[in-house]
Amino acid sequence: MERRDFLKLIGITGAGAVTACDAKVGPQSLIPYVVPPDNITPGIPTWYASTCRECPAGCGTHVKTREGRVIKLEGNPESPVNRGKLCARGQAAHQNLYDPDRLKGPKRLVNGEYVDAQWEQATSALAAELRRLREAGGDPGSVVLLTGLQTGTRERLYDEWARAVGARRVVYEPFAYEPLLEANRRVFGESVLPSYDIEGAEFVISFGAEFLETWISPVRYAVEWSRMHAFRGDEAVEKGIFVAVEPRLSMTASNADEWVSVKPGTEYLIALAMANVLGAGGEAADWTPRRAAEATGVDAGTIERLAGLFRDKRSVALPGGISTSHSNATAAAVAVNLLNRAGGAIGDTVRFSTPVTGAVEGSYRAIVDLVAAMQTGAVKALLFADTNPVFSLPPALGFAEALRQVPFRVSFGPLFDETGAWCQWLLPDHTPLESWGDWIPQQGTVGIQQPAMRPVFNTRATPDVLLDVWRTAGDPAAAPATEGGWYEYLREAWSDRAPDERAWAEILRAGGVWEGAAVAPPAGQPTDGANLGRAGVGAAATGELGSGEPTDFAPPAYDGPSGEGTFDLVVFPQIALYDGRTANRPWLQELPDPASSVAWQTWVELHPEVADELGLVDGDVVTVESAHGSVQAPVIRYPGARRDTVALPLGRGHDRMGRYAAGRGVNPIALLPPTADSASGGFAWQGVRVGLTKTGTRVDPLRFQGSDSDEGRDLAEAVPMAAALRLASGEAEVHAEEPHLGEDIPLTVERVARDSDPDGPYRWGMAISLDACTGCNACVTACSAENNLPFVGPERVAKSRFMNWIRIERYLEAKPGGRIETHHLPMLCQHCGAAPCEPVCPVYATYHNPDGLNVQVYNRCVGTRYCSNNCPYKVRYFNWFQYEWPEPLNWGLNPDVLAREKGVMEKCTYCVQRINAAKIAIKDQGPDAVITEGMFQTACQQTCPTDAIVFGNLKDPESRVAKLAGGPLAYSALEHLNTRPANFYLKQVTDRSGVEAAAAEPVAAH
Amino acid sequence: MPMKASGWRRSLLPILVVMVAVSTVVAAAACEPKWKAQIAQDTTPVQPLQFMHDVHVTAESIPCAYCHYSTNVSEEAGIPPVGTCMGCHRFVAGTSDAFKTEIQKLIGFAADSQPVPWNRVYSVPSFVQFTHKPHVRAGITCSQCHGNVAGMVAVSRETPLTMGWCVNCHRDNGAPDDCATCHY
Amino acid sequence: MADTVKQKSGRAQAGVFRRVNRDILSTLQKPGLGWAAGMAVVLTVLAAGVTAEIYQIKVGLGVAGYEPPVMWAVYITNFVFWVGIAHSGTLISAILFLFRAQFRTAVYRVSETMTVFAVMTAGLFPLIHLGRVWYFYYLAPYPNERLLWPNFRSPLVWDFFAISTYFTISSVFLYVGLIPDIAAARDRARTKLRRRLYGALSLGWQGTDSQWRHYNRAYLFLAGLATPLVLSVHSVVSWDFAMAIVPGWHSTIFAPYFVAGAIFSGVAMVITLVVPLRKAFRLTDYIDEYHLDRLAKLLLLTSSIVFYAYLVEIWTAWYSGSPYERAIFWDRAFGQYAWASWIMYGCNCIIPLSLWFKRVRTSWFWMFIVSIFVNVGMWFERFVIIIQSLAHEFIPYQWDYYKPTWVEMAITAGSFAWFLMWFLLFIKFLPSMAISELKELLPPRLRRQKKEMEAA
Repeated sequence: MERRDFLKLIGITGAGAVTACDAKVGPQSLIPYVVPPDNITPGIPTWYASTCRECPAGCGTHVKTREGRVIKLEGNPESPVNRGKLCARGQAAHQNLYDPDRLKGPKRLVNGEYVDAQWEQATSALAAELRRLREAGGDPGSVVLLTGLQTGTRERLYDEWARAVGARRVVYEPFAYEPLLEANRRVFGESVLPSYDIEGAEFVISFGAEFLETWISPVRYAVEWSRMHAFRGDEAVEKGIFVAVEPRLSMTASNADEWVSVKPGTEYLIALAMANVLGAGGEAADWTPRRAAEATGVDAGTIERLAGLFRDKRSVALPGGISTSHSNATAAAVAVNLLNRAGGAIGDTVRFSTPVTGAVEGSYRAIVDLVAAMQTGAVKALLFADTNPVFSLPPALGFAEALRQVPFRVSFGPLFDETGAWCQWLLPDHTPLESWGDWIPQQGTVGIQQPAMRPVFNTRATPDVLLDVWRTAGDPAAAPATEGGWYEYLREAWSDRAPDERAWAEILRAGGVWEGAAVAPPAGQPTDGANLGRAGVGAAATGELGSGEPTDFAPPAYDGPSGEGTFDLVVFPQIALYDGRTANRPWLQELPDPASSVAWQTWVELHPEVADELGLVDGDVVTVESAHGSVQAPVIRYPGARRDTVALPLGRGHDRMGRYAAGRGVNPIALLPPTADSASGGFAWQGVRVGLTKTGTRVDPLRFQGSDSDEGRDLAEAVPMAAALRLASGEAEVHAEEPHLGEDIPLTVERVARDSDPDGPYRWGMAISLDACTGCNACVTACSAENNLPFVGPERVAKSRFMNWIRIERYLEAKPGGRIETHHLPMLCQHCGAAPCEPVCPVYATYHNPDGLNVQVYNRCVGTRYCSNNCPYKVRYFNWFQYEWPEPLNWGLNPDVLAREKGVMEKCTYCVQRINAAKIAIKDQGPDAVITEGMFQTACQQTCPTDAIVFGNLKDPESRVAKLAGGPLAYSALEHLNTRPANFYLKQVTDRSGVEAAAAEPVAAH
Repeated sequence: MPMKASGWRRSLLPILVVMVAVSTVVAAAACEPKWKAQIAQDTTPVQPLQFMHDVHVTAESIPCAYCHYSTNVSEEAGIPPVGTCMGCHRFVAGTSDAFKTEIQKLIGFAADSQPVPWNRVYSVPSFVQFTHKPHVRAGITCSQCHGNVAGMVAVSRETPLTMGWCVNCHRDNGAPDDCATCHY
Repeated sequence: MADTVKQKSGRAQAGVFRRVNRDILSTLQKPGLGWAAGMAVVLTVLAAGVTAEIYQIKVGLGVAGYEPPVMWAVYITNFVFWVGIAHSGTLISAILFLFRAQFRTAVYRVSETMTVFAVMTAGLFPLIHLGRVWYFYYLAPYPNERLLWPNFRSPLVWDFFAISTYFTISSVFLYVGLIPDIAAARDRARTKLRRRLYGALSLGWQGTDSQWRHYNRAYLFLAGLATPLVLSVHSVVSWDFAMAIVPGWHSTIFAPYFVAGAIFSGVAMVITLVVPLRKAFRLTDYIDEYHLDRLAKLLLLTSSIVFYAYLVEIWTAWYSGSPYERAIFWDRAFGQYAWASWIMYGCNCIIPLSLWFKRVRTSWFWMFIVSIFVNVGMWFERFVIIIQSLAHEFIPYQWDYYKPTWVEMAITAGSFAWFLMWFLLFIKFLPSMAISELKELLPPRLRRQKKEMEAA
């Protein structure tokens, strides 16, 4: 059957089908399909391959639907971008689809009020206006289609449409990384983003690139980073080193073996000096380590040592992201390019053969020009598609005011956001999960995007709207290539790749075409020097800059006075909220920040000693004031902040967009001047100096973390690389080094495996690598989606009543030389063999089952909460209230898992619904068939970008989990309590660069 | 001492009684579990059109799984789409007037492609994760749980669907009686 | 001659006994305004408590201040507190009876009723604190088709039995003790209703020799039966904590420590109740400094046991070498709950030291003050043990600070109202002192009076 017919069917029967599935949850009617759609069976999930559109990275996804409703997203293992993994944002994508605050249909502004409209009416109105403008013969700049970064067919449609209706398309992406493009153009003559081969490198140094959080393609780089860096003890091979040069201990920096804390805006000097040591001529020549040391406060020895590492190992240097883009961002990126070239990384670990999407040339410059044009009244009509400039541009730029000069304004945003509030027409687009499309994450890789369910509301795909407008208002000479709608347009665009329906079906199954899947070249051999632009080749050869123009390496311009009582402001993108587009997803609002563990609110990150000097404690509201604006937010003391800086996260502070976003936190962009990096025209996010004043009021700091330090309890263990290698190679005795409580009788896998039915084939368990865990929280959201975990809201988070079955505990450890070591400890139910929670439950609501699971029977629980008191790991969560799922958020509930009622204790079940499904499935292969490795994964394991979580059967000695848990780095949390946990942790491996050994020399003064 | 007790003392006991009564009633009302009502529902609901299982199963000897198509693969038994009905009833118009009228209803639904809003006869509380597939595979016949549908005009629920009923059968047949088999 | 003497003494005897009856039963007269006002206040507070509880059931336990990891809080504190109060009753009536400690006669009825009502109050809290109280019957072992039983390894199930047993025994004990006095009340009752009521309750008591003989046997027997409970019940309660692995709970000293604490708080509560009672009903002749002094000494003894237990706890924590145990007690003394800990140490260890002075022991005023302090202190002991320990467990990520909400306060206040309501009803409807036993051994002043009458 035709896919579209099938979708229609789901449409007709969708509601009914879902009632049928929900019938378990109450309604007593039973609605069958009219015509049974092929590939849909009630009670059996249907999967669609698609592409994640939560950020420009374009990860491949598999969308799980039940009875025509999306209930879960997982990474597409075939996609070369994310290789089966997703981040927290991707895992929460269907909370965008089911957002209760979405626009339910088209609306128009009638004297100050938004009233419902008809799609025909809306389209014709739009068409009429555009035709009027075109026939009035206004200059092509008078109609502007302002869109975010787009690739593939949608971009093509936007451009063709703009040409046809006499409009101008302006691309604005808040995180546009223009400086990187400009720097690459200057040094290599290629205005593209190369793909950085982190996986293939042995030494990675990042100059403010938050590549584990938001930078370019975070999931992809997290996967690569773990393969380069994670030491699990199953092989005695030394792993790579990662050094982060940043003004703030970001999540990315917290995973670095060494965090080089530098004065904001001087990161690039380290790169220059390193290039200098490596013998780069040109501008680098006069930046000796000594001179750089004076400017940055990092001592010369360190710089030389890092340069040495860069030379001796196969290395890559990553240019800066948002939190280091000052007014000299291009120069900074050039410096990193010089280092890469001097270190011979070009064509080896930095490859221009497969450029990646993620940067937009001249994005901010374009918007500045647009504002100018708007102010002169030259712009007659402005159409916004997938962008929210009113929120993400600094108010000082005056975009919103300029909008007053534009007579006709239309928003295609699915949500009524800050920009929408300025528009006369709201024509809500489908969300990505409802619409067709494609995306090109990197050259040669095209991800397909197909609707996984019928639109939830009366929305319409913007391309369809544009096509209609095009036909009526467009230049008749240039009619659209197809008679049909957006789907036909897309299909036609794919006709060369998919000539027939079979090829098309195959593409839909695979989720795209992966021609350009980058393969790591053998070390040291540049594979694609030829792919470099001429200048690049020349540059690689001669060591001169690619394009003629010289680069000025002067320090950035700081806005505002320096001196007593002022701080350098660092605004940084937060992993959960990106640029703020995901702010109305409750799961993401409630996701604790990896560094500060704060949720639901914007905080001011302050060094504890500074806070003490100012007499500030967590929760004290301060006014942060720059020359351009001021915001008020509570202080969070964070040892990872520098004394001379205050840091604020981006993404919150919406005053529209929906119930979860509006009024939560503040938007630090209000503090920024509309300054641009002179060379690239990119927005300068950093370089503002601010003052702090105490307001005297105090709010509840919404932190998950009780204590920053583990009080010397060694919950998250670590060993130096040298020792780890000795252990892995069997030279050293396991448990030899610093024995502590209970370690005299080390717990073995064999022992734990016995904690289940002796005749049964299973004892489920986990091996969690603390060396791989980055604290990115993807597992937390994945768990929420799989197990119907409610979000509890800020006032309940304040009472730490959060419901995350798995949480990442983050402990900071002070090291010699003022260094800080961060430990990320994923904590979830340990399914103990001798579980303290079991004997104390008066009603057997929790007990040990034949598979060795520690089961929680929700409908037996009466809520004495004794089990939680007696759980040393504190991983049991209580339903203090009947938690709400505002329609249609409840559509995303997993029908295979009970949504718990008030008064019941709940906790991690190792995804028992997946275990049972596998058990039922395996019996098809005979009564004695046994579940084998990889037949299913837990939700957290499935999505973990760094494979930190390995789940499996401890009774099977061949299983990966048994091997790792039996490995030299394995240990059990609170082993001395003899609870015999089924979760084994693999120790973190520290001090790879040998700094610890040479701790005599202090690394950074901060 | 005067015989008559003063006012407040006479009202003392009533006050107490009322307070206790009110609190218990409200508490009870607050916590009446929904699923109990669900179990105790009408065992023979009136259906939108009088489908005759006996005719189809006995007279026409159509196997259950012909209409309940996903029983052996899924947790849901699968309610036949109108299309499946029309497969035969495009030709079968009915012998008696009574039949004819009912079949006309069906054709009506099919005509304006509306699903038939059947009323549920069997349902388990949301905290029970029941799956048909393993039961069918284990050779449990439909009638063991659904009664002799072949002899019913309108289907009525003959089994209690209580936990004890499930558990006993599981025990007798050596099926798992681990709580996590059904409750999660 | 001798005859007249006997007659005289007989008359005197009768006169004094009549006076005893009159005095004690006078408490049963038509209540005055004071009593009415008291009852009104009590009922209002109780109503507030009930409202709070209904609200809590409707909305969810979240309306209480629970802040994970503090999963038990004020409700369990109240539970242990009231069970503790319950204890002295049985101690004073049963154990002291077996030891023939005469000073008990005046106060044992009060303390026994206190016991029963305190257990009735304590019994409410395990229910109030349940997440799904409407399924409370899962805790009871009853045959069911699902073949499900409660988990007999769980101390909470032990609690279930301990409390119910204790309630049964102590109420029977109270009732048996009451029989002769109810008979006395019956004989003096003026209203018909009362006569019939007391008549039924007194089980046709005539005061014949055989009845007295059987009565004394039964009473002795019950006393023997009740005595072990004093130790067992609160040991079981203490195991709710000692059986858990929570640092600060997991300690073998808990049973004796809790029993001592229970008696300590119980005696304090007896004093708190007796002092106003004595004034209100002009029973100064029956309860005097002599009794007070004895109670004070009992208080002093148990106080020093509790003090000792505190010290041992700390020493054990240090000696165990476990960083978690040590952290708990360091945090207890200097952490975020230090204020509560110091209230506890102050009220339970320091203030009772004043009882070394006879002047304090025999001063009604000071003893009342001290007893109040001890009550407060013992409540805070449970508060600290439960909440502070839970707030500072193994995983530093999960450390938090708990504050109670109005709901918990209302319900706590309600529990005191509930207790006082029963107590007020009791003193109005049943003799609050053991008439018969008072007659056996007349309090000093009456003895003097008897002598005078004989002399006359």
